[in-house]
Amino acid sequence: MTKQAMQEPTFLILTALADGTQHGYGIMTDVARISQGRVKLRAGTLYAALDRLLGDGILGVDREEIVDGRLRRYYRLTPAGTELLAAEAARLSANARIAAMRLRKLRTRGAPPAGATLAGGAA
Amino acid sequence: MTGEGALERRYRRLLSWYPAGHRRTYGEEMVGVLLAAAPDGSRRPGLAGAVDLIRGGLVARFRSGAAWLAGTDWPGALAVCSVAVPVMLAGYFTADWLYYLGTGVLHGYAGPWYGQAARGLLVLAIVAPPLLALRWRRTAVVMALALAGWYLIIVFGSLPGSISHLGQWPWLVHGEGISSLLALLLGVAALAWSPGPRRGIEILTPRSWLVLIGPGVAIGLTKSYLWAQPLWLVTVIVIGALALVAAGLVLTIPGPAARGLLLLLAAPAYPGAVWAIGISRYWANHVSGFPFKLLLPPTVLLAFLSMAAILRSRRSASHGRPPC
Repeated sequence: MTKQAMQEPTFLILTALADGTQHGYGIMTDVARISQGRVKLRAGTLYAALDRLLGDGILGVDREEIVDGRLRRYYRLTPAGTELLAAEAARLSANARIAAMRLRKLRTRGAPPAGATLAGGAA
Repeated sequence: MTGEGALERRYRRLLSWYPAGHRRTYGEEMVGVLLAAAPDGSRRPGLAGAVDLIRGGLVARFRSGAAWLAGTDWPGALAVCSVAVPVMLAGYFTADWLYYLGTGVLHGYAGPWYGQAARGLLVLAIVAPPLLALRWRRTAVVMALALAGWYLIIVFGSLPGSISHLGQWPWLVHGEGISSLLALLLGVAALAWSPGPRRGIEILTPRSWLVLIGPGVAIGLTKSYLWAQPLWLVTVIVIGALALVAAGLVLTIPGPAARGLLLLLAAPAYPGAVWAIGISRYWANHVSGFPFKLLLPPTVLLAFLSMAAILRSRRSASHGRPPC
């Protein structure tokens, strides 16, 4: 049975927390930075993921603070979360390596002309 | 009100889409994050942010509902059904029989003896399988299945006659028939695939026996009286009775089994309730009753849910997992 691939927001949240404990807003801004602005997590998506990851034992709550009268909770990776992130990073890295290698070969052979069909003729 | 105050109030209103437990855990923290992420001076949440919160709230509700169902003791609930369903049906048919016998005697005509004998035999045929199952489970299943098959023929065999008799309202007759038929089929499944009536009796408490016997007897005795009442009164009585039975079962049976029992009993209860409400309207003033679609699609959906629950119960039992 194949394992389901991790969704990108989850991967980015775990990556953000690999740098140290962070609170919710910190994770949101860090995810935007890591993805170079491509992924913009919203609060609903972030807390759905945090709730699921806490329930699965991937994340833990490090500490809570009250800042300007508002609750701020800091999250951290658990050992299981660290292991999961490492496995996912290795998987993505292996895929990326193969993709890069094949692209190199393709470029060496020369890319097929645009509009060419499998039969080799015009459609 | 300041801009941030108005924005916070609107965010809090959006957070009401989340289940209470989620709001207790993350609500204040989320408000802080939402306000920190909002552009300066904004008084309203953006459309995309609002949609994201509503979607997140629905997902959280679905997850909490799934977690609630995951903790259900399906084998226990099905074991209770193997006893509860025959008890409820026997209560109903006995009261129905005694009511017609009593009124018949009072008016000097109780009908032919074989009619009375058939009603008595039906009650015996309903209570016999769970009693037999205490020793001979397979024989009990065959007997319960034969009874359900016979009842199926009766219900669907009466369809042409009832169509001609009731015109466009055949469902009025079949609400009762379908309800009893689904209950009998549930009883067969419970006898065949649950840990058995003995386990069901262990789970039931003395008070839950009263909850099981009471409604069937009450409906059997008051059915004719109910038909003569206004629609609103019958609706209130039927919905109130269902709520009382559900509350009674939840209060007298351990939670994990009670949850499963309520879901399993919903399929047979629904068409009976629609029938009871609809028939009062039909007999009262012959105006158009509830449309057929009010009876059939929800019944089919509930029956599918019951089947899924029964399959889940079988899987739990075959994996030898203890009830959660």
